[in-house]
Amino acid sequence: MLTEQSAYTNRWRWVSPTAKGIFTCSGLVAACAATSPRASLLVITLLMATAIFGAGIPITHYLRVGAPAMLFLGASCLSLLVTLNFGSGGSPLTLQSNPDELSRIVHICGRSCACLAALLLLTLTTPLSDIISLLRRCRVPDTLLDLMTLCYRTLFVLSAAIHETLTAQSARLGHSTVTQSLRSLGGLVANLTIQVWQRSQALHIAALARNNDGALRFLEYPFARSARHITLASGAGITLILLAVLIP
Amino acid sequence: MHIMEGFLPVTHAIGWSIASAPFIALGLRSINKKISEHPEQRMLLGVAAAFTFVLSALKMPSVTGSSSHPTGTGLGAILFGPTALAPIGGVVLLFQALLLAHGGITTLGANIFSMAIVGPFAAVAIFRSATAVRLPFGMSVFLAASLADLMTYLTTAAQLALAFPDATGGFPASFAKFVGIFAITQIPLAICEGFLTLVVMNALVRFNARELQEMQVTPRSGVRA
Amino acid sequence: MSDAIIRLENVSYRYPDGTAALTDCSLTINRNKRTAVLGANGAGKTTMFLHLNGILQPSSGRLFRDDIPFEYSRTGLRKLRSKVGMVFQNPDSQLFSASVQEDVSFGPMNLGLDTTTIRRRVAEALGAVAMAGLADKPVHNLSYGQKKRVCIAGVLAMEPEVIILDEPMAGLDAAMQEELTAVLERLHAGGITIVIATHDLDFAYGWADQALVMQSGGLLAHGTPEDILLRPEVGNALGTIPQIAEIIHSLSLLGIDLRGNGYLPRTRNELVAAIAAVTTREDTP
Repeated sequence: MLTEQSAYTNRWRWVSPTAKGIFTCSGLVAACAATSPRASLLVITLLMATAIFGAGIPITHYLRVGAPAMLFLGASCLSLLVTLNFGSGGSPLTLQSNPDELSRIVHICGRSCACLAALLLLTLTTPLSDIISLLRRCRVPDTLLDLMTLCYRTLFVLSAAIHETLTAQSARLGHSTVTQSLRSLGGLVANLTIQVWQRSQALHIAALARNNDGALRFLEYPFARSARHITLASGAGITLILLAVLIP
Repeated sequence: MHIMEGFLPVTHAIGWSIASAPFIALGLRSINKKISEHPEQRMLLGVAAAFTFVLSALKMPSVTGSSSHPTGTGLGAILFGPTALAPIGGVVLLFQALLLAHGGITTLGANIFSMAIVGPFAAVAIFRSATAVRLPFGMSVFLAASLADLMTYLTTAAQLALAFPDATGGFPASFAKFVGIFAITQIPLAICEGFLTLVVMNALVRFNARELQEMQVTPRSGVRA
Repeated sequence: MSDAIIRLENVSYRYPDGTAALTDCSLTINRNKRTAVLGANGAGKTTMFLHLNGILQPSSGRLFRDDIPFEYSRTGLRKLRSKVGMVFQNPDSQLFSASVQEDVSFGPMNLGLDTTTIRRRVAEALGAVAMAGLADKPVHNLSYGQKKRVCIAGVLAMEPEVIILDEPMAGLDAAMQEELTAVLERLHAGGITIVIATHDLDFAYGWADQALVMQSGGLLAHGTPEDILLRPEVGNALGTIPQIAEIIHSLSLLGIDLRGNGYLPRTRNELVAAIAAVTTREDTP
């Protein structure tokens, strides 16, 4: 996963997740508060620049992570562009031509891009385990955090298992036709389903062996200079929101 | 079907989050109860979340040629129950937003509502009614999985239509438009998912019925907490 | 203090589905010894291990730690599991967090220790398995051998007196096996009793001070490896005898006695040295 890769290697790996979280939230607020296309564009530019020049995420990497979402956004905006006409004769689907509607779509598109830029800033600089500890500090219920911790750890284990099975199936021509492929995929998922029980039972025994009898708790490691980073992030966040609101 | 980050107006984003919250809370309460009776359920549901996440990354062979991914909604709901699936689905959707930039934080509530609440509840309701009227097992599974996908997609279309009503036709026109547009991808997906879930359940029943039953209902009781 | 750190007395265990996994099993694990537990698949090794830190409770019979019977109350189990650490075979079914140092902190956190102590223990445990440099790495980017060492660190951080490892060498290449052996050697030197279940007879022969051979849920033989691993009934149960012992035997049939100085080689290096010693003796009459 591309996001993972840069989350562990970027320049801001050791900046307090709280600071990064505060700035991301400010980014989201700014994105929603921006009323003009110009303001949205400014928010997008600032958030992108922060990720690329601040955290040192390579531009190509950044674009590759954002590309699928942008394609998706393009499709979603296209769906807004067309309207249905009932009984007025002619084509039932027409392109939107009302200028008010068009400017509304541009606004939605800008807000979406700005929110995406805010999200990417967080995910490209912060590993999920740090985000989970951040959520712990935000008093998210333990059970939900346990689900996240286990999900994050296990998804790599299961992905590896899937990859091995797919290779083995392909080696025996299990994916040569559509029907064959569906059958192989069904076998794979059924096998994986059984593994869910087997693996969770093994994890349970291992947790007991390490004296666990409740929620999964881990030691949190303090981040150096976090107070300074939090102050900086809050200041920058407020500035970003003000810019978004004030720019006409 | 995911709604993109930032796509919904703020009021709608907040509204759907508020609508989803009680289901998540209810789900967490039922999970906590399960865990206090059977501590190993904590691991089971965590691994189940990872299972759903990797499932949605699988490529399904598609009739139309475009690649599509299973949602795992039907299978998950039948295996783990719809109540537990709200928090599990919530975690999966959050991870998709964070790790794949698919969906988003602001639209998390709306996406949870359509995919982790409506879908699973529909799947289980359909599965139960189908078995109640004595439809064959395979047919029930197929219907549950594919109709759950369709319900999810109709919910998403409704969410979008509420947010973006047509200037002249209002909500109905907009709803019809979104339903029409997404039908191109969502109907083949629902059919594929129905077949895949059918093949999976058949394989589970045929090869591992006893094992699955044993593990699901009676976890190895010899283990000391 | 007695020599026996853990003792099983007529322990039987039946799984809920009725399979008898242990039948009247009595055995002793001695303090500060390197103990190898051998036996074919299904001989009851894993079930026996799960009894050693109270994950399973015997259907009949008793277990003792330092000659005191196991106590299965909440506090009793807590104490037991902090003293008897268990490393399972598959790292992927015992690592909970994707962060290495977080995962190592899991056991000490469960013991309810204070932050400073936990931080010190995590650092020491990672140092002991030579993983300190990788503390910040995500678990999913580690090699199999590295994951295995994180598992050991996770147990070490609870500062146990005994560490039990199920098939620690399985799936490791020669270099990783050597590293892991060195890690275990250091732990042993530090006063920890180490128990290993293994199918690798040659490893057991070279490494262990004490071998326990299990068969159909009970103890078949126990003693030093050179004493028991060459017995016919043990050879039958395990399906083979250590290669080194076989080579020594074949050489003795050729009239070459490696026992000349009263010392029997147990590892490959010792064997090579012994052969070299015999050759030089013959060269210089």
